[in-house]
Amino acid sequence: MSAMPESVRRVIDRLQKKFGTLERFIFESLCESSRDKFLWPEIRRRILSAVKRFFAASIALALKAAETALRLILWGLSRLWERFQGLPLSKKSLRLRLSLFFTAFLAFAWFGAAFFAWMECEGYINEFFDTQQMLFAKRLAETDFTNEAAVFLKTRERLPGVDKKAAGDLEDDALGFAVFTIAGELVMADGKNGRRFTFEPDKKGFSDMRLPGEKGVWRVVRLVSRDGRHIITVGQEEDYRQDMMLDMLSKQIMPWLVLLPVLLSGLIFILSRELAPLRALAKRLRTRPPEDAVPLDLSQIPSEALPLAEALNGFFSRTKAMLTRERSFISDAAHELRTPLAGLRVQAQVAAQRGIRRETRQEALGFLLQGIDRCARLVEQLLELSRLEAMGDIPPVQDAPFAGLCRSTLEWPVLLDEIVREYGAKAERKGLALKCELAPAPSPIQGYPALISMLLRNLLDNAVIYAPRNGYIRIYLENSRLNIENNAPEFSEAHASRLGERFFRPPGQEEPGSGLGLSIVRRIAEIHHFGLSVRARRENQDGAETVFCVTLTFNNAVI
Amino acid sequence: MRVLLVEDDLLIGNGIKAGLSKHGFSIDWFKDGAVGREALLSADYDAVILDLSLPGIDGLDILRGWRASGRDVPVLVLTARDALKQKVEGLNLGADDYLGKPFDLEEVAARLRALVRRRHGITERLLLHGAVSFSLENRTVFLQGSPVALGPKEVMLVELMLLNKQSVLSKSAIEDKLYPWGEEVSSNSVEVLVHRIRRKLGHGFIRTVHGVGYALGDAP
Repeated sequence: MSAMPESVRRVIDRLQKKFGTLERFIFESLCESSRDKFLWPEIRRRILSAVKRFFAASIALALKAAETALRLILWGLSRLWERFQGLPLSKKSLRLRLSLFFTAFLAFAWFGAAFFAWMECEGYINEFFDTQQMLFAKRLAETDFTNEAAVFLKTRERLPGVDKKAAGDLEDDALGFAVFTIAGELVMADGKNGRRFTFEPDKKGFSDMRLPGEKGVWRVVRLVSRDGRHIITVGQEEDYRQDMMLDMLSKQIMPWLVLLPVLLSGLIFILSRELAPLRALAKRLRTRPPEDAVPLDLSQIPSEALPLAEALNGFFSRTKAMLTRERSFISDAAHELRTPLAGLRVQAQVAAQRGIRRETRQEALGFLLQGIDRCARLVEQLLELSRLEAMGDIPPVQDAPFAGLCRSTLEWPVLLDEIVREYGAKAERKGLALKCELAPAPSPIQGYPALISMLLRNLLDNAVIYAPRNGYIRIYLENSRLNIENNAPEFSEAHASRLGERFFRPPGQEEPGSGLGLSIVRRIAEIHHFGLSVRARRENQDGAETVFCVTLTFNNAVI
Repeated sequence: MRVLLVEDDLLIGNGIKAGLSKHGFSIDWFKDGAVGREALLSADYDAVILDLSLPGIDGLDILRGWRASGRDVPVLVLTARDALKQKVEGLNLGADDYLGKPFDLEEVAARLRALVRRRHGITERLLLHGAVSFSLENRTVFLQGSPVALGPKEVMLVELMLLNKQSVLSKSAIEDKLYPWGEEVSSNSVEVLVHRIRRKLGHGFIRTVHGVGYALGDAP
């Protein structure tokens, strides 16, 4: 062993450190078997390249494993995402969503930051090492190599008398160098790498270089020595620089990764706490009785959820208004039904009395029938009105049939003709003159013909009932209005203004009626956006004749 | 008994009028509240049936007006509303009784009778005068315990006499009570009635106060 050259000894020491005793044993036996000095570089090169290939293979394998693991993780995440997407909307927790999106965004931001840091680092490290390389090369360029035989130096020696700690984290392979003559003869090189540097006389300054038989790229700087007879080449393996960069990056990211769980749990806690008012609101809504109209207390609601809570309050007040309307309608209806029912009962009792005159009984039975008809009509009108109340106004655009009604452009001539034919006989029986005048081209209006028929029928019913005997009914259709007039008994303006109120009937009515007809007319007009005015006006100067006039205007109607 | 009915509904008004005349009431029916209000002020009624839901005028206003002008005639109120508040208000304004629609004719008759009886300070159900007794409940006249068949107007006159034991009733007052407006009254119809009653219940039951009218005879 003592006869072994110093350089070989050093290599063995290094390898011993790196690969352990087995390799050293193999290596030493190899050295023993062949003492040929010139064989050594070749043996060393081969072993090193084998070791490097082994490492490369391991790294490739590790990369493959990492890739598979990453694929697995991505697949799992995508499955989770699918499950998450599949959940019904209400079950998607805002907290979960926020946490997930926040984490994803955080990861993205971190990777972005790391990428930029990498770019920055790369420039910085390249600059740093380039400077060092150049410095080293310049030093070498000052040296006089003329008397030197080919020398292979080992770049790193354990500093004598300095302990490991004080020597610092020196990396032996940080730089390699080689000095060639102009002719390309290697004059001096560091033992490990420099002697394998290739001689490329036409390249000057920094460039990339591949060592023969190696994959890694080296960054080298080439200078011509001061005496102009040597070329100095100083190189560094790119991988070394990359490793250093990765090291820097990982050291930067590590604290963030450690803090991530803390960050996430903090986020979840804050979210839970901030969402508490919404949970409280939901609880209040769950236990709220349906008839409760008290608006929600908005003082605890965060401003983002405020529009929703306000909309709910609006909804509650609308529901309450609707309930109140319905209740008053039902109570009105019950009240209005009691009177005709009382009439029926009384007349039935009269008809059932013993010992009354035949004519009285006949009369009572006649009243009974009349009363039953009246009740039936009232119930029918109540139903019509409640259906109309529940119906929305006509939408401005043509769409599907609404509430089972067909919508179309109103054919006034057809509608009015039908009505005139239907009521002609009734009017005639009462000696009424029924006249109908049509404008040549009434403006086309959208509407529900079935409802318009109902409207006209109610108006004509009233006109026939309330016009005095031998009076008249006049219907005239102008371009944007429909008038229905009949002469009528004395009628006060105050009463005319109350017409159309549910169940309102002006006093002094001989004719039976429910007081709902004009309410129905009014509602149908509303549905069609028609204007409705009911007036009683004096026809003559002396006020001898009162004309009752109902006018529908179509200015806002849907065209 | 003469009753004023203020009711706008044709069927109810007609039914009450027709139904109650069988029970010995003569009914004046007005559909218009304002006319009905004036009617009470111009004639003497034993009781009033007043509908509260009259068009154009509130029944309670009519009642208030009557009470304000000092009319203490018993008023039976008919209403379709069963709100307690309205009932209380009506009773506070001087209504004597309350009936919600729909109602029973028999009940109306019974309540009217009770109102009239109470007004005359009668608490028993039989009116007595010597051998003649009159059941207010089933409007039957008894002579010495056995029922006597009398016409409706005759029963009304007997009731009228028994309710006004101490007073002398003029012929026109009797006509007023027995015949509603619009009913044909012949000039001697009261005399005819008195004659028939005397024949059935004894001559001394009604005595003639010459130049004034009729009064109950002395109880034997």
